[in-house]
Amino acid sequence: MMHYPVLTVLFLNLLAMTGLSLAMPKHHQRLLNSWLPPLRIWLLRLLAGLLMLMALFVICSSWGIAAGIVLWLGLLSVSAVFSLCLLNHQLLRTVSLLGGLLLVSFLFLI
Amino acid sequence: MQSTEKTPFRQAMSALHTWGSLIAGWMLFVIFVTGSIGVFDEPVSHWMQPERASILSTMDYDPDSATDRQAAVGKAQAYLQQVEPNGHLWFATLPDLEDPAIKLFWQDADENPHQAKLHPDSGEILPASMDRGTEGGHHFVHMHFELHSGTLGIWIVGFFTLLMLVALISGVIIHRRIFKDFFTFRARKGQRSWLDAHNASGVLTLPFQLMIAFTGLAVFVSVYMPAAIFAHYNSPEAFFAEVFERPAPREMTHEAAPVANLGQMFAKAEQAMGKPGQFIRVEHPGDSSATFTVFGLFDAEALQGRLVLPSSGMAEFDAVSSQQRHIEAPGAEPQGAAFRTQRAMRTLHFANFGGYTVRWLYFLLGMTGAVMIASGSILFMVKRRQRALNEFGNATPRVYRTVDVLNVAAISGLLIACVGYLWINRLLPLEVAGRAGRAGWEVGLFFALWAITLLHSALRPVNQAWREQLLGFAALCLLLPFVNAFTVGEHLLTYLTERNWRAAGVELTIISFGLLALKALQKLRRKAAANKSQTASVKIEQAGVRG
Repeated sequence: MMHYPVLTVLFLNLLAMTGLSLAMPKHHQRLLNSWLPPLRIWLLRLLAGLLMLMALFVICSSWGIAAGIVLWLGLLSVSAVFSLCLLNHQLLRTVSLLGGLLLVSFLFLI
Repeated sequence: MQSTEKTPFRQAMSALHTWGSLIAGWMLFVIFVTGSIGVFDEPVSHWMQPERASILSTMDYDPDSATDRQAAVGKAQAYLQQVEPNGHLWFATLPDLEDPAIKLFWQDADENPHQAKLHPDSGEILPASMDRGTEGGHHFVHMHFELHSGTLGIWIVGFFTLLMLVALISGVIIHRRIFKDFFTFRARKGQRSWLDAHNASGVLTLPFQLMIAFTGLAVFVSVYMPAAIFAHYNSPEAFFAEVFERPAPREMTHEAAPVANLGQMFAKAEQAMGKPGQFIRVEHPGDSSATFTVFGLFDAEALQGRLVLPSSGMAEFDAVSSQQRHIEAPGAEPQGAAFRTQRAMRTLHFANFGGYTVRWLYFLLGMTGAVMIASGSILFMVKRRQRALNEFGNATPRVYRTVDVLNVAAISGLLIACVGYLWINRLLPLEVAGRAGRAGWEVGLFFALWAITLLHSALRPVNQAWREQLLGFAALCLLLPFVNAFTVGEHLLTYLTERNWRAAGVELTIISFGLLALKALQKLRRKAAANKSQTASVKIEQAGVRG
């Protein structure tokens, strides 16, 4: 049972914000060096919206609606700032990728 | 295609944002930084009071024992009866496992404040070797909401908070590419980078900045808008008594009457509330109108996630006859939509609805707000250093110089004073003479250190002032653990091995800020070196043309 799923919500929001930033042609072009077709823009936006909704549901179901919305918005802001840093720092991107892989490997071990 | 021309409305908003924010920026930076540190007032106080551990390890007092709590109330009464039998107010906080002293606060007949701390077992005043006189983390909270200036400070902070709301809304109006530039930060682009940093830190955390500014005003609504209270009530106390559904305060009768046994009344109160008491208050001791109030223990963990906090329980007695006057059961919800809304805003502002999770979130977002304010203030001068706008005619260079000096002192100067306050805590002798006491000296030296940074920034060229103050801040942060180890023998390793997470958290956060300052310093040095080589190559080119 997830009592305080703050980290889960933070990661969901981070994925959503990264998706939203990659749905912008200039960031997509700079990071992936490829053209961004309109369909992919909308798919990324839709995915980001779903992830944010999922995060909102998870946090509200454990913290209640009032405190849940406050925390969700706060974590969304922190995720947005972190996404901005990811877009601008190669080293941070590499470290985050390695950290993510490590986390996933631990999850498989559990 | 969107026109790049500014409409008259946008131009007006732009001027309002620029000049309003410039005036408010320095004070808002102080409010944001001290407020962000203030969310951790309890861990900071814990770090600043290393002697508490010695009381905890030797005391017999058990906070869970009703007999011990009752005895502590008796000790508080015995002391206050001796020093201020006819004061205006007595107030005491009972010991717990975080702060093991009986903390006393009282006002004499002229309402002058006094305080003292008693040993929980002996009831004697704690010696300096057991009690480092300090305001601890509360200093940052007081700076945040009243600048250590009482009601005047609350008004000043309120005025600047209002300007913050104006700046946020005008900033949204003049920012034409909010969504297009949502994730944009262009590094190493001079003025453009500062603008991006200002926009990103503001836009990405906008919900928090709006919420914290608005709820900050709502917390003191009765101070900022007292007319309705004065029109309908004899005093603010009468208004609050009605709102909280508690008995109205009694007028003094000026008939002498001794205060009855508070320990016995305290035991009755705990029985009536069905939970331990934490605070006690006696109004008008020595007068026949005296009342005794017991407030129940505040259990933060049980209230996690609740924005409208219920009562912790309260019982009021006639302090002379020991008759119970009022009982408020723990868990009672505040009534009335307006009052509940105000209480929710208060909880939102105080960040006390979700333990350390919410505190860390507020700290990060508050510091991002400070970055938004600082980058805006710096941007003002970066823009004008590239091309002076001559807004003040012949006086323009002097105004620009003043802005530069105040920018350095308000931003890096305040940071130096904040970490310097922790140095002062460790270096100031435990016993200090003077009316203000050791805690007053610490706060006084905090302001003195800040004044020195202002003098320094006024005497040095702006770029050097930034570099030197950043270096000073980094050194103060990174050397603090050594000062701690040399003065009180505590350091990160002892904190980690003793699982003293709060003290370890304080030191690790300070070290992180020191490393960030070093990184900023490195960037400033690179920029200075690049500017130097650019100037040198221009001179060589000019010499070549002449030759």
